[in-house]
Amino acid sequence: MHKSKKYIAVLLVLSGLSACSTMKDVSNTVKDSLFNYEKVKPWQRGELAKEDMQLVDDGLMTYADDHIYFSKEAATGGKGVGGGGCGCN
Amino acid sequence: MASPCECLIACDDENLARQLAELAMAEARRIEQKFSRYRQDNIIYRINNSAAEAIRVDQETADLLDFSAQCYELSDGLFDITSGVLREAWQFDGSDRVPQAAVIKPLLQRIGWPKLIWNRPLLTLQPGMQIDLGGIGKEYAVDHVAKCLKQHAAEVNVLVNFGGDLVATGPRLMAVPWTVGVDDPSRSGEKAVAGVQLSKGAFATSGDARRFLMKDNRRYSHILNPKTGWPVEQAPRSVSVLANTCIEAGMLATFALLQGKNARRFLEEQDVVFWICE
Amino acid sequence: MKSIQKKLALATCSLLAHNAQSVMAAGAEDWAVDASFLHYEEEERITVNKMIGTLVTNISESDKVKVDLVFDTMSGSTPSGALEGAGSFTTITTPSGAGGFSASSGSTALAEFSDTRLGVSLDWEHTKKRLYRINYGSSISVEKDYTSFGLNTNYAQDSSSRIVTYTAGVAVAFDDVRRSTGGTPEPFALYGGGETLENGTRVTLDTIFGVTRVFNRRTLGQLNFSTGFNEGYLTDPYKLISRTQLLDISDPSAGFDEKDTYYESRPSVRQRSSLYGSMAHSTRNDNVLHMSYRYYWDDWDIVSNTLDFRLKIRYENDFFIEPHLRFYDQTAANFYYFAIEQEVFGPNGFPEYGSADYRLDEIDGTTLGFNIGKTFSAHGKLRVRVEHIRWQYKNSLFDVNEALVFQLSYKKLFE
Repeated sequence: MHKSKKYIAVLLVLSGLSACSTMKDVSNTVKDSLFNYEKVKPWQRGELAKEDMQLVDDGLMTYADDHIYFSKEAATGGKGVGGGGCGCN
Repeated sequence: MASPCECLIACDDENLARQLAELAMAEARRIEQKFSRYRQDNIIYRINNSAAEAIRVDQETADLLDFSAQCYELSDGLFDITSGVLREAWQFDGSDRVPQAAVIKPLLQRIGWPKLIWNRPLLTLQPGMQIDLGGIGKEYAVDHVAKCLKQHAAEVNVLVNFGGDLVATGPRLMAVPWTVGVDDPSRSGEKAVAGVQLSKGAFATSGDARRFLMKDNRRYSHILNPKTGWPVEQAPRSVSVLANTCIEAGMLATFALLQGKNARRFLEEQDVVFWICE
Repeated sequence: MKSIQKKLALATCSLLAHNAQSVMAAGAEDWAVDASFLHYEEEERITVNKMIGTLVTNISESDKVKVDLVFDTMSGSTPSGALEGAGSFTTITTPSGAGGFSASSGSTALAEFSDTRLGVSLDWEHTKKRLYRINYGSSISVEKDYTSFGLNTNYAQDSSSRIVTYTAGVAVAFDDVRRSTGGTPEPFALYGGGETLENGTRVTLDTIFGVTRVFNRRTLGQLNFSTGFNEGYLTDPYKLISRTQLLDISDPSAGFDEKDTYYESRPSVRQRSSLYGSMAHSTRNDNVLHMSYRYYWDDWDIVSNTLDFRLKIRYENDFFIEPHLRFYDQTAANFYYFAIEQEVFGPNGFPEYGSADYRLDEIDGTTLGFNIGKTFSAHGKLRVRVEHIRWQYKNSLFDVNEALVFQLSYKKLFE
């Protein structure tokens, strides 16, 4: 019941976020990312090679978040395997 | 180097100029002897006749192999120092002797950088494989000689030119650049198509208009794709690039040729000045 | 897009540096150190201070070693699962090491604790023939009431064009669970009574299979399927569950009376699976959008959705601001009860398993955060982030928990 509301909220906030930079971001993002497949050559990987573009771009932030949510929520994992367990409350 | 080599030295001390010229000659000769595939007394010969044994290579060779590995990577496998065995099938002498596909196919088994084991400083080839640093050697020699001269006499600017691949370490005279002519490959040696003012930097050309095969009105360029064993289609006759070092310029020009009809697009994506002769 | 020219320039540099003493390929022999301080604070509940340090170094051109160190101090109080005492709501004090709950004032709803944790992990990544990477990892984590030891290995293989990467990984962990005084309580024993059983042990096995794909010059996506299980003592030795009796059986809204309180009891196996999709996209004006979604399910009947968005807005001078939004929901575990109701289970009956741990309730969580960062010329990168997390519980004594997170990190590269 509240789920649909939540997804609308996501969209609203997302567009709000993008408005911080450019409104065009939203439509371009969808267009550029999902509907634009190309075979990328090694010399075209300049952008992809940047640290910001890594799926885990800040290891310590990910590590800390994983730990917080692991200790407060029942669902865990998904990103990878390994790392230390804990008996956190 | 199988081509005219010159070294222009901007200095009015004849003694020093002579010293530098001798140094340049010595270094150029050393590199040629060390990496030429026509000799039987060098590291390349030992590697190519190693019968799948691991060969321990010296630091300079190791650096060139590391560099070759990176070029393989950057060119998506199109620049491959193991592709020389294709010469067994292709002779670009202007004739119409295009090899049969059946001749080329078995050669591909013996080509491919990932097939050799490079574990610095140990190199192991598979049986039948060969390496050839000819695609890097001349440009490397140009940069290396220029560097040696600069180390010997930092205040003297030089222009090292080995068969059209060249580097300038600084302006000819106070703020007066060197002038370099870009050859038109179809009329080699006759007329420069462009003059480049070069103070500091390098210029290199890849491509050779005289090396091709012609059969049934189809021109086969000598730029071979190591993945297929066949010439790259619609490759420009030559590509010239300006860059900071001769190796960079030479590699970018070579990578561009290997792109065939996409050569121009490839170079436009790089931050360099270039000339293409179609 | 100029990458090839820049990389070539870099490669050339190392080639021409031949006369220098040591010549290694670009990238080899650098060190990266990343250190972080994190403060986590729940309103009137738990406070955690965490220090994390990571060191990565290339020990050869094809081998990379990573060492992680983490030190946590935790203190505060957390809901035990028990309902508040008949009298006024007060917390009982359980100084760590004093042995569980020594109910003195009648309420056991909140349990106080304090502990420290030290964790170390070591990873080794080896690249083979440029397209294959294999990673071996080990980790150990020690608290007063918990010890964990884990091993993992991951394998990644790039397609020859490097457009697609396939990954597979497996991890095992062996945990020892106990109260800070040692041992574990007898499940469903009356709180304060029952035998003290030996320490609980649990084994965890996780596997992951993933595909990462380059969609275009500005987009990268990943899809993972993970599955695994926990087996052994999965109960929480501190959590409690109360028995209740309705005051008026014909009118449940009239309230209830709290009867006895027991130690909780959970199944000894849990099978978990998840599908996780994530992507990074660099927008036309060079901002970077990170999006991920996870669908999780397990045989405790917990099903969960997690959506995560970050937009890194990059400014000149290597400065960035990154808003972060996360939405989480989960269903309750099939043995989650607000309390053991006498009307359902009788005055002395029990369900097969029962826990009132708020983390097994139906939960909705929302995170809103900001991360700002600046890269300095000398390979240094500073980040500061502040996040607010709010969890809402459907059927727990405490229906909301809010937390504030502050993290300060600094990364430096050495060559």
